[in-house]
Parts: sequence; C-alpha cells; structure tokens
Amino acid sequence: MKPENQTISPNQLFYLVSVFLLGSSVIFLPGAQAGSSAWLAVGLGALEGLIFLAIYNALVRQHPGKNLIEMNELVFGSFLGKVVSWLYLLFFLFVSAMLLRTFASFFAIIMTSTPLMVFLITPLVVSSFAVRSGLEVLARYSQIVLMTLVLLFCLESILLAQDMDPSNLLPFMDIPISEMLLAIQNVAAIPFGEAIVFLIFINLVSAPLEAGRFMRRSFLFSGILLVLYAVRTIAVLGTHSTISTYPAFAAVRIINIGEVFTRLEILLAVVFLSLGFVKGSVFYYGAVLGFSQLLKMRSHTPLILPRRFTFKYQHIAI
Amino acid sequence: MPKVKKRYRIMVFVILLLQSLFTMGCWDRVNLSKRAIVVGMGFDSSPQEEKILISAQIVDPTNVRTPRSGGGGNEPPFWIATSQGTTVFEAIRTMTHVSPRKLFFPHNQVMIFGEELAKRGLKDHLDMLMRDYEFRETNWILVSEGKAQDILATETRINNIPAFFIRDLIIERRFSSQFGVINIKDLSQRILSKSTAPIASYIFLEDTDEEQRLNMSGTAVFDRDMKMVGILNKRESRGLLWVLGEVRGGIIVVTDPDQCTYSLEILEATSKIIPQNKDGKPTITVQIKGSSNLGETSCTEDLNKPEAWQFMESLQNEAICQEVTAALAKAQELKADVFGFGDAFYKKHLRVWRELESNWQEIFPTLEVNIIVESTVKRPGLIISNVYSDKGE
Repeated sequence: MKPENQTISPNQLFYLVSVFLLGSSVIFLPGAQAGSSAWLAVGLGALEGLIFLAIYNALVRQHPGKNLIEMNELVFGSFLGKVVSWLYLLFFLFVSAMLLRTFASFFAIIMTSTPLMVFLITPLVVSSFAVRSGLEVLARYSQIVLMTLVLLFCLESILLAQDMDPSNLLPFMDIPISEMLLAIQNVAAIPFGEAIVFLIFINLVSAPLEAGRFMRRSFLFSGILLVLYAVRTIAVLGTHSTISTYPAFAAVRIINIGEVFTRLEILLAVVFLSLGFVKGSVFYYGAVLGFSQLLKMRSHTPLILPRRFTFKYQHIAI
Repeated sequence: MPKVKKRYRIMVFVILLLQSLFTMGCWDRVNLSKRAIVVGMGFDSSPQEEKILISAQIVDPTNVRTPRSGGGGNEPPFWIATSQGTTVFEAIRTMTHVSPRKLFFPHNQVMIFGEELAKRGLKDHLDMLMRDYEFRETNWILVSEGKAQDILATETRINNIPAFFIRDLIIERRFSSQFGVINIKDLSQRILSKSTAPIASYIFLEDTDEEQRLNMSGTAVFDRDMKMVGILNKRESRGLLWVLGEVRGGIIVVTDPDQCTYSLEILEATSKIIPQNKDGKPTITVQIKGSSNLGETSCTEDLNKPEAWQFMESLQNEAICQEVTAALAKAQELKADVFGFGDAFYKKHLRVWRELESNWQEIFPTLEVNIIVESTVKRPGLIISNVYSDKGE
C-alpha cells in the first residue's frame, strides 16, 4: 500500500498525538518561568490547549473530508489560501528543524567533541525513513514508546520518592499574574498549539469525525502526565529547577539508591530521543505532505529527500 | 527481474558491511585505560592571591589492594594531582600538564574547600561544579580546617581511599547526626532561596599519638555571600538537624538530679516549622517529635514503673530543646538563617514575607522562636532495671 493511502484508526491517533505532545517536553520543565507554580502553568496550559482543539474540531466538522490545505483554500480563496498554507508549511518545517536542533544540542552537551552534524543527520535519516513508511508506522511505533514512557515514569518516580520534598511546591503563585499568564501561553502554544499539524492528516484517520474525541483524550492524558512530570521535577529540585537547562533530566540525575541505582538519567535521554523523534517526524511528514498537495503531486515521497538536504542547512541557520 | 533484485540486495549488504568499518564508535569515546578517575577534589586558596589551587584525588589502580592479591606495595592507592588557575575550570585543565591522563569526574564523591578559601568566599568557584556535565549533583560539599589538600592526602584505614572514607563517614552520620551535610543540589537551593544561609560539613585532621586521622564533626556556616562566617559544634549541629528534620539517629545523654546518666538512642525524628505573624511581629514555632530507646543507664532505681519513663521523656525533651536553643543562639549570633525560617515565611505567608524580605538579615537575629518538643522513650532493651538496682532489697 502506498504511504499516502494508509489510514490510522482513531485509537492509533490517540497514541500518536500523546507522544507528539509529550515529545520534546519530557526533559524540560514547561512553564519553568512560573517557578514553583510551573505545574499549575502546565495544567492550565493544557486546558487552554483544549480550547484550540475545540476550534480544530469545529473546522473539521464544518469542512468534512477536507484537510488544512483545502480548508485554507475554501476559507481564504484560491490565492490567499495558498499563501496561508505556505506559511503553515514553513512553520512546520521550522519547528521540525528546531526540534532536531534541540536534540543535537542536548547530546552535544554530553559529547563535546563529536561534531553536531552527527546528531543532526542521524535522526534525520531515520526520520525521513519513517516519513517514507507512512503515518501508520509512526502511530504503531508511538504505541510502544508511550507504554515505555509511562513505565519508566513510574519507575523513576518510585526511585525518586525519597528525594522529593513537597514543600518545594510552595509558595503557591509567587509570581505576578502577568508572568503566570505568559507561562500558561507558552505551555499552550508548545506543545498543545502545535497539534494543528494533525489537521493535515485528518483524512488519513479512518473516522475523521471520531478523531476529535480521541485527540481530546490524548490532550488530557499528556496534560496530566506533564503536570506529574512538573510536580516531580519541582519537588526534587526546588529552586534549582529555575537555573537548570534540562530540569526533568537533572531531577533523574539525583537518583541514588545505595550507590547501586545511580546514573539512570540515560533512561530519560532515551525516552526523549524516541519521543522527540515522533514529533519531529510528524512535522516533517506534515510539511512534505502539504507541499505535495499544494504542488499537485501524486505522491509526497519524491519530496522527502530534497527536504532532508534543505533541513541540513536550516539546522545550521538556527 | 529477480536477478536484478538479488544483485541489489547483495550490494546493500556489502555497503552495510563496509560502513561498519567507518562508523565504529563515537568521537567522545575514551577508554578506561586513558582515564584518570577522580574521586575527591580539594579547593584551596593559593599563595598567589587571585588564583585557586585545586587538588584532585585520582585512583591509582596499580596500588589498589584487593583482599585476594594482598599485594600492591605500600604506596597509597591514590595520587593527588594539584594545579593552579584563575578559574576552577582553567585549573582543572591545567592539570593535564602534570597528569598524563585527562581527569574524569563522574565518580567524584566529595568536594572539600579549605577554610581559608571558604572565608574568602566561594561565590566564584561553584558555577563550574553545577554547569559541567561530568560532576553530579549528589557530590558532597565539605569545608576543612586547614588545607583541603592535606585532608585528601591523609592515609586512611579500612577504606584506604580518603574520598570514599569521607563519603562513608557521611553515610554513617545516621548514628550520630552531629554534622550537617549538603550536596550540590541542596547547596544550589539554599543559595537560590532569598534568605537561607548555606552550610557545609566540617572536617579536620586530628592528631593522636599514633597517627593523624580524619574527624568529621560540626557544620560550617556561610553568609549570603558564600563566605564562611562560623562553625556550629557537634551539639549545635544536631540542634540544626532537629529543626531541619534530618536527625536519623544518635545518642542523647541526659543526667538526672542524682547524677545518674541515661543514654537514649534516637529512633526517629520529625519537625515542623510554623511561621506566624502575631500582631505584625513574626514568630516561628518549631515542633519536634522524636522517639528513642533506652540504651544505657547508671540509674539504680526500679525502672519498671511508668513514672520513671515519663521522667526520662521529660529529661529528653529538655535535652533536645537545649540543643536547638544552642544552635539558634549561635545562628542568630552569626546572623545566618541556617534553618530556613525566612523560607518558611516565603512558602506559607507570602504576603508577610514581602514585608520582611528586605530586612530579614536584621530581623533574624532577634526573631522569636518557640520550640516545642514531644518525644517518647520506647523500649528498655534486654534488661529493664540496671543490674545494681535496689529492686530486690
């Protein structure tokens, strides 16, 4: 079956969207500027994300059978619609490049003398392979990854229990309300707002009208998981989380059970790698699919390789 | 067609085989035999004012004695490399002039700062220890009387690598609880708080007739500028730990009016710091709960009656309260909020804290602190009354 004819079930969409949302956020502390109330910012940001989702749903319901590109043309007219679509697609490419760059910088902190290129090209090759294989492959992969993530989260949390200090979560809301709103906006935009990329794939879901329900489920699921991550990170690190580059990662570094269970942070690094990969690939796929549609091509596969090369330069530019 | 496909497959296979020749490992791979494993680090002030002297305790594998081999010579199983630099990182990299292998820090256990440097201030020397990936946030921070270098160079028994020896002393603190401990993460938290004073364990070289040995007791106290301002002795240190809820064990010796002693072994302790604002006057109430076992007594009275135990409990409450009072007096004298009382206001009474924040340093030395201790003495051990008790007579 050609990749573009593949469909995924709404259930698979749930896994894909959840992994997408958790994606790059697992080693960071989203909403970190809210200090000890970051967890609240994450929670409220997720709720705000649900508003975005309601808008996407309304769009899907109003334009059944159409994806983002076609909707744009219907709403803005043929020319302006194309311009708006181009802007969206460039945004997807930009985010995708940013993500891979985040990856690369993270690993470059540990491996200082390895050229950044290695960390840029390797995931990119795998990513383009995934895009070639189609959305279903990514969705099935997400299923495994998400289960691993939840399992590891529980394991790490148990091992971290002795290092958690609930009083680190106090004081409640010590920052001005404007900064809090800013933090909430940040969380709502990344990752929840980014889910607009799924409007490109809406026709690949076997039951597009069901999709909204399953996406809401994954918004709630990953929202709750991100709040738990934030609570854990702040409880372990306290104020140290405000100066840490990768707070959730730093928190796991604290694990030390009798000098035996130590240095487990690599688990989180692996999770980050496998989750971020999905997110990057989804954006990559969205962009390529969108371009092929705009350019009225029969298949998106010829676009994958050229995209890969331009990526390379985009990374360096960022 | 199938023939073409077969050739294609063989080609892919060959390419895959070939590429394994070129992608054998990563740039950052360093073999164990090329690494100098650092287990302890010392930081001292250097004769040259602006520089810092760093000593790294490196495990010397050729001299590590294992029970089986028995040998290994009489050389100590470690080597102290020293170097100087304007900054910590510069000094560390300068060490490659004297060490044939690049230093490898992930197994570092302790970081010891010499008292002279600590008094001059550690503000400029901590960044790298938090920023660099190789250091772990769980490294212990200590201050040494005299030079840190001498502490690291001390020959130790049982565990003959001093850094591990010190780490084990820190682990075994649960049987005395008479010095404060702090790792890099907690230090960072204390510095980032708006009022709490940083602390560190205090270690010194003790001269006995036979040998020089390491002794860890007491707690070094820093001011908000990370300059060492004083030391809490053993008793005051435990007072601090009572308030922090970090007492894990130890012996409380109490004496009754008849000069009989009771050694009570602490089983567990918890604490609660309650900030209050009574009529615009900030006060702190510290609630300490603990329990202990009777471990030893010289009291010859019949202990088989509840009053005797209640009496012990009241003596114990009094003793704990005195330890806390001593710690408080010292901290207030040093004007260093080692207990985190300011943070307690910040966390629970944000609005009150906003008023106190600017002149907390003036408020803390005269802060009113109520200490409430509730403790129990639980079990007598294998005998109830002392063998010399007048019970039978």
